[in-house]
Amino acid sequence: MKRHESHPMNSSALIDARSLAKKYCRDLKKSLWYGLSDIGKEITGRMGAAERLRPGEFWALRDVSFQLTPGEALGLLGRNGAGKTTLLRILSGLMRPDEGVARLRGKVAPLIELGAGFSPVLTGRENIFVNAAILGVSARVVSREIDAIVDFAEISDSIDAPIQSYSEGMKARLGFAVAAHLNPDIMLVDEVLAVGDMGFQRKCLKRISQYLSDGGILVFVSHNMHLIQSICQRSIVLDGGRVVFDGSTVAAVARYTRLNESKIEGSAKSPAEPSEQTPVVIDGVSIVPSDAIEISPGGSFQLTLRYRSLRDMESVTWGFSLWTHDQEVRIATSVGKHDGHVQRLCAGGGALSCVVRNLPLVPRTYCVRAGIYDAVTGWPIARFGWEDAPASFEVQGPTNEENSRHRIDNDIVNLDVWWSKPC
Amino acid sequence: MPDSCLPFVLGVWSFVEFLAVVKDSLKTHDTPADAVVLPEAVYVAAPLLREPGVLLRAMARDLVNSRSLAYRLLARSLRSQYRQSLLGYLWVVIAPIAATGGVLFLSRQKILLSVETTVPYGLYVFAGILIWQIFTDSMQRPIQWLSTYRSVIGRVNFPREALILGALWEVLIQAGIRIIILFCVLLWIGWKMGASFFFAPLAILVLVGLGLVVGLILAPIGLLYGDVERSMNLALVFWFFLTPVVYAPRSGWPASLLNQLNPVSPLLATARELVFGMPLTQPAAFLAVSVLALVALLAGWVFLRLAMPHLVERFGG
Repeated sequence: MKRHESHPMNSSALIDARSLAKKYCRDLKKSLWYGLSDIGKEITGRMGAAERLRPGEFWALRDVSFQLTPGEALGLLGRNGAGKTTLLRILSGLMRPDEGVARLRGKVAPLIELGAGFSPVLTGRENIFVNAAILGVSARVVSREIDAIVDFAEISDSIDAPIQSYSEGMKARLGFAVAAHLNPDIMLVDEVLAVGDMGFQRKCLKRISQYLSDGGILVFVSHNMHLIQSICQRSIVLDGGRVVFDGSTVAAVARYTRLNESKIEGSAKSPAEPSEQTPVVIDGVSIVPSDAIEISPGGSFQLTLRYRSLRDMESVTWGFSLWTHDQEVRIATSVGKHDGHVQRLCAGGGALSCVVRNLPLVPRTYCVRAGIYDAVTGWPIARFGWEDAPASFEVQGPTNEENSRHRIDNDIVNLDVWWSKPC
Repeated sequence: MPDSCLPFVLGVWSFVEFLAVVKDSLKTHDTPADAVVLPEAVYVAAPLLREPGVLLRAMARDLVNSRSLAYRLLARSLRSQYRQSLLGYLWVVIAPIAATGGVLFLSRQKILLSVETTVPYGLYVFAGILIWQIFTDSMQRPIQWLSTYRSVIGRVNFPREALILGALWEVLIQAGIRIIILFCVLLWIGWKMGASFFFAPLAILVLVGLGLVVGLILAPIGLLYGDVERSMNLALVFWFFLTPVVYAPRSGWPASLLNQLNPVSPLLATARELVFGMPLTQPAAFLAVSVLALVALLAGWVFLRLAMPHLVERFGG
């Protein structure tokens, strides 16, 4: 990509976003009505004052600021509805912020959708011209680049067939190929690389790295952590429209997965009073590092269960199970009974505890469920974390490439591996 | 130069430019995309009307920049419409010819009621219907274009003027074909055409402008509310009967109200009078509506411009 030839001044390209904010409304009818009233305010010139939220509105984006200079790629991380696409749409000028300023210098290629304006009955070749014109590229540039575009999209056999005969993957490849050959200064990419096979994705990545090393600016939204990590040095994590992290992508990925893991499903109920039907209730389970400030891989922690009981109870046992944060995978279960370790409960209440050592887990958030059982029948007397929210704890580790990879790959256990030396 | 002249000048100029672009595109053409100075965009919450000068300059710039895109979209629209059909581009002339045949048949069979005109009634109605169709075309086309490109509007920030310009060109092409058909029919039946026939397109251009105004104001709201497109057909049926298309304008009160309150009346009547070389009955009303239409065209354009970002955030992508 010969960007410098066409833009000798592209070293001055930039994105400067300051305190951007945007309101949305969840109720469709209200939202349309607000739209009309906003247009009215725009015409009468009453718009622009720092307004409060109207009924049904919420901040989809709040106080977002960042700057990007040539060669920089910014990853945007966040769960669905965190404000990523809203931010891209403000940057591409599709809608104006409700507060703040966005300043962009350079030619912008928004890849929020690939193949904008494709008509199914037109041929691939005709659609290239339509799509490029919508993206603001002249027919002359397209005529010059068309062979490269067709080659890149790997559709030279069907370029003169109507696009309705293309597969979705072919359309997406063609769309990306057009956008990638437009020599923009700023690219805004929203989850569009998810389509296409692995070979094509690799090709796109190569193209993007070349674009960045030529001084392009990229804002990249994806739920694919591998992609983000291989493209962007720096990332922003959005949560509820706010920037909760801005820094290296490795740390951002850690923050983002922690964000996901912190939303433990299940409602925390306040435990009921013990009664004749349920003579024992578990008040809570706490997990604290036993000999360090934090729980780390290979370290140990103390698990304490607090209970209340109507009366003394002999011959009980207790145990717990470890789960992944989404409570989908049961990692381990440990019950005292198997060790021949029988307990008794005191009338009123008390605590039971144990220590877990040589923790084999990778840095992530985990859940704990626990129970007290009849030692003879194994029947549960009281349970914790099943009907209500489980307890959780986090295994902490240094923010590095290896731990980031563990997070992205959803690893759970650390294996102690000795790699043999190459001969 | 008074403001009201601006849209007219821009309109005529953009049409001339259109011809140039069509000519250029047969070879290859270029836009300022390769300019050396990087474009700068600033997005803030302040109302755009606060700086009308900046707004007008941006509008003029976008109109200029949108020509080649408008041409591409027009080509896309025409090709897509006619490619999946056996008769192809013939459809452009089939519809008006069919309407002509229908009207001529009805008038020969004396099914259509006759009115007192110096022109044979069938011919009179035929010209009226052709001109009325040009008006409805110019009113509906912007809405059709905006809804066709709805999803693209929500995802790519291209100059919206391209859609209006493309729609306008499509209307003008259809209008030109209709006028040529009218011309051929008049030649065929041996009607003595005066020089005034050649001024009729000017009157029709004003009618297109008026239709565009209605379209420009309704189109953005039509993107939000489906009611607009739904009620438009209904409204057009009423409007058709309230306009002297199949009857001659009346002068007696209260029927004359139809002329005085309906802006289409003087435009359509004048255009038809020019076609047949009849004396002009409402020159003053024609001029007044023309000036109003030109001012309203600029206002409609500004309205579209102001409304677009608000619409995009409401109808999503």
